[in-house]
Amino acid sequence: MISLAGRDILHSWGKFVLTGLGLGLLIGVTLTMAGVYRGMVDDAEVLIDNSGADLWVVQKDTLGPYAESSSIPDDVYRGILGMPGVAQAANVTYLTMQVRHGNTDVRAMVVGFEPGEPGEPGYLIAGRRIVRSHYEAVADAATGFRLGEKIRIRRHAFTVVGLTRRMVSSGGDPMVFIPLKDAQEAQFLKDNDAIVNNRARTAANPALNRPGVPGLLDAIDASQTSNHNVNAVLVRVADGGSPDAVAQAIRRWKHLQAYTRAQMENILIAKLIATAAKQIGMFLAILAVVSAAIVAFIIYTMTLGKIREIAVLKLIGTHNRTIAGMILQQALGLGLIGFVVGKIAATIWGPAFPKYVLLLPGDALRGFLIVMAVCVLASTLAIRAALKVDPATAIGG
Amino acid sequence: MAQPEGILIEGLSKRYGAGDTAVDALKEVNMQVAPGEVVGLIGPSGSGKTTLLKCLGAVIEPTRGRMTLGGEAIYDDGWKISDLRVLRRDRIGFVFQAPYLIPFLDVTDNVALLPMLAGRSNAESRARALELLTALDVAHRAQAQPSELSGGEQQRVSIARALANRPPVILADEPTAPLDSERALAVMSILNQMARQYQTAIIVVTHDEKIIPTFKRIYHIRDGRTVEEAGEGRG
Amino acid sequence: MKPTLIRRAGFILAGAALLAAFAWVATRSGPFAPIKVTVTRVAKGTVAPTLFGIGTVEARRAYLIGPTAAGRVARVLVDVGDAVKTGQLLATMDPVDLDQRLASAAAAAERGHSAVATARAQAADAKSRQALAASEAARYVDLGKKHFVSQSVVDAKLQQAQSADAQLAAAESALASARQDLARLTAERGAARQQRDNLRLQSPVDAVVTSRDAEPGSTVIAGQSVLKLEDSASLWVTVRLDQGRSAGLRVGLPADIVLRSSPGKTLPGRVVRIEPVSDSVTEERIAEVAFDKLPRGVSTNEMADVTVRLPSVAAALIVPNAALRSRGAQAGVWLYADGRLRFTPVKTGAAGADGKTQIVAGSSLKAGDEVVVYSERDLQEDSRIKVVAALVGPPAAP
Repeated sequence: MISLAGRDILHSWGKFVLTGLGLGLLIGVTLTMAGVYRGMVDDAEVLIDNSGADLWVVQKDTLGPYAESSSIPDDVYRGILGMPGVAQAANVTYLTMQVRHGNTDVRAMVVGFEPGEPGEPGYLIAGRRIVRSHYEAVADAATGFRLGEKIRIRRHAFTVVGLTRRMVSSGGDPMVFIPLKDAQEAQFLKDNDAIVNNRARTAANPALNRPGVPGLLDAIDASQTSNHNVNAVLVRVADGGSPDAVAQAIRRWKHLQAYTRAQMENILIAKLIATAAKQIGMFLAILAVVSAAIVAFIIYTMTLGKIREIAVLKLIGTHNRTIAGMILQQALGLGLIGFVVGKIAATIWGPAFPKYVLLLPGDALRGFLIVMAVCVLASTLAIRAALKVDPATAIGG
Repeated sequence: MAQPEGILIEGLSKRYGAGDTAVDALKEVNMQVAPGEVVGLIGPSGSGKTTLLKCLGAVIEPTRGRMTLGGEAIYDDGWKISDLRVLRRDRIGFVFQAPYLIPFLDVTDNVALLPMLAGRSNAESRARALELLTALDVAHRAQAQPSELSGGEQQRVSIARALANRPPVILADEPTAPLDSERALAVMSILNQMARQYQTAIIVVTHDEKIIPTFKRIYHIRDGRTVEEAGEGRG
Repeated sequence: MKPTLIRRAGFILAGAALLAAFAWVATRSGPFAPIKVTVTRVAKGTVAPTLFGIGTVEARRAYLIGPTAAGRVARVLVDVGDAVKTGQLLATMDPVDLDQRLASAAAAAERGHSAVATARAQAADAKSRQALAASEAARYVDLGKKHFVSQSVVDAKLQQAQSADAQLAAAESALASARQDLARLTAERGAARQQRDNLRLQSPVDAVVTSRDAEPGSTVIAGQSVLKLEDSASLWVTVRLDQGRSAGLRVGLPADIVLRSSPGKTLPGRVVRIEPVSDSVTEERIAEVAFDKLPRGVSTNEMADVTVRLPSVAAALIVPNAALRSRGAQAGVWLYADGRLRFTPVKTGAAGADGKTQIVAGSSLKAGDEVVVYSERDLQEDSRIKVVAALVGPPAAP
């Protein structure tokens, strides 16, 4: 027995392939949307993994440092370092801001870190780590910066000495790592006009500007423009230690909030990404329905175009089963072509998206099964129409 | 054989509807065609011609009557053979007004399809198809697509298809309607030749005046009843 | 016959191409793909470590010029940016009544002179009278001895002589007193003059005026500055270095100074002092770096980037610092041997500004070992890797 479906496809292969391509692009969009969601979750996980921390110590009663802003003094880490079970504790600052490069701005998360401590990027893809204590930066490749370029962060110019990959904030903004002191200045020091105005305001205050106390005004100005805050302290727990126990101790004795890795994941994924996840979920559902409808329509139209042949086949003695099988096989073949095209398309255009698109094999498999199921369902409409055809219509009246 | 081959109909009746609105499309139709015979079935529209054709083609069941095909009983007063579809596949060949070839199968496969559906191997089916195509003088187009054939060639292929499963009867529905007299007579000549060669009973439904002289016997149908008449039989 | 075959062949080819693309997609990208890394060999070389800090140009010595008593500024003779010499008059305060008091003290001193003269004359007079009385007393004693005169006359003359002695003593002490008084008045006059002089603000050294804080007519209190001077030859850069990254800091190390105002020029200098007191709040050490040759047109409080060059470490085992990874709190490198990865803990020593880091002996790394430098992702012991030449294209053209 020859394959009727195969022969039909071979005969009008152009139409079939074009239809498969169109369906494939639709499926590709669906797979990409799923990849966008996975990418967002992966961004959050990568953020947590790359920081190299077991605990995040932040301002009390905040969800910081990623989900909410948090500000703690920069000498708190000394006390934490002395607690049992703590191997490393280091200050970090995070600030999402525009980094100027030539004539353009790039939105990036500027991270202030101490070299050799948690918060430093774990691996590089080019260049070297920061050696000097100021004005050097390591940037994520997604910023578009190249080695040796100078970028401006607030008042200072930094030289890009190293590049990393997949160092992004939970919002997908690429990271730029600079020494902690420079980051503190960038975050808390105001622009020149504001500083000058502040100085004038202080000088106009007779309680602060006392002629009998030389140097008082200068000291006050200096204290107002210096900054000693950071956003969080990252803690690495000693081998064999329990992060929960250390976190509990910090919360109790240090009047700070401490989050373990699991809690941080929950904050980022459940709270930060929840809305976006719902949005994408709805979009995926709509896409699935649209895809099903399109496949149904295509198969139905293809079947209707063969009504006469189906009547003849039925009349000359073809089993209903065979005819239904032909339609079903065509639907599945269309689905298969569409899925393959869609998967290839999604893989090719995925990296072009501004945010990370993660295409998991599990998702592809699920997508494949759904596409096949949709094709089967969609073909039932056409099969019903085909089975209803009266073979007698081949015999003219 | 003791049983007559070919096709035999006795008292075939078909009633549509019930009660006051019932319509008797066929009333006690009798017909008999022997193997190798080509008979004509002539009647105006509305005469029950199409209904008779559908009963002959095992597409619909009659309300009453008997029909025997190739010695096998098909209908017998309420009883019918179980699988009409298999009957259509194996025991009845169809030739339509238009060739109605399957466009996505090539010529050989169009003819070989029926034996394949009947369960024969692909090789055997194709061999038989080639044999028929040769007999009908279209073997040189065996690998072509139907769309590449001329109308006459397509018609011949459709006749080959009808013969593919060696059915005892072939029903031809207005096979010459779109043709001019030369081609029409050529088709009738082929049909007669095939009937003799394969000992098939052929019933040709037609109202084409050009070919009426070719029949030896003609059945006229009017108001659901048939009347047999002898034809000129010019073959 | 041919078209169908061609068509079938074409379809099969397209299908195969599609499947091949699919397979490529599955293995090349996504989580199944191997991680691309670059490797390099550990070699021996020289590490040139440096210390980097941000500095401010400051003057070694700065002076606040102001009055020692509250007063009103009378004149200010110089302005910001003027170069002044030692002793040059910079400003004067309003003397108020000091001039009159000086005149009064002068007059008093003059009067003291007169008083001394008077006392001297009186002393001379007393002396002459005492001399006379003494000679008369001696003569009368002599006469008394010869009984020419009565004893009472002799006594009277003796008494006169004593009285004249006493008067001489009194006159002499009056003279001394007048002299002391003169000294006192002269000192008072000197004090008044000194106070008057204090109203003249003079430059203690050759310097440059950096600030003019009070204008003529303003009232200032004692100690408030009217002008600020800086010894312009004593400019140096006060550098702040991270405590954690200042190992090896010593006086005498060479340094490169780059002023913010002229970022293209590197000025040579030397570390001349390290502050004994560091900043515990900012966790920085403070050092002073002097210019080898003082540049012109430099202003104080100007920012400078200072790189102190530590002595090179030769024949050191070097890895690029991008190869350093950490597992937990342990620093190390990923050793690539026999196609497998192994995390090797290392201890690092000096680090050069170009990223080359010394590996201290004692780690199990040897010259010639291959280590992973760049990787697309974090590595584990069982990661599938693929060694490539580079992960990104060449850096931006300068």
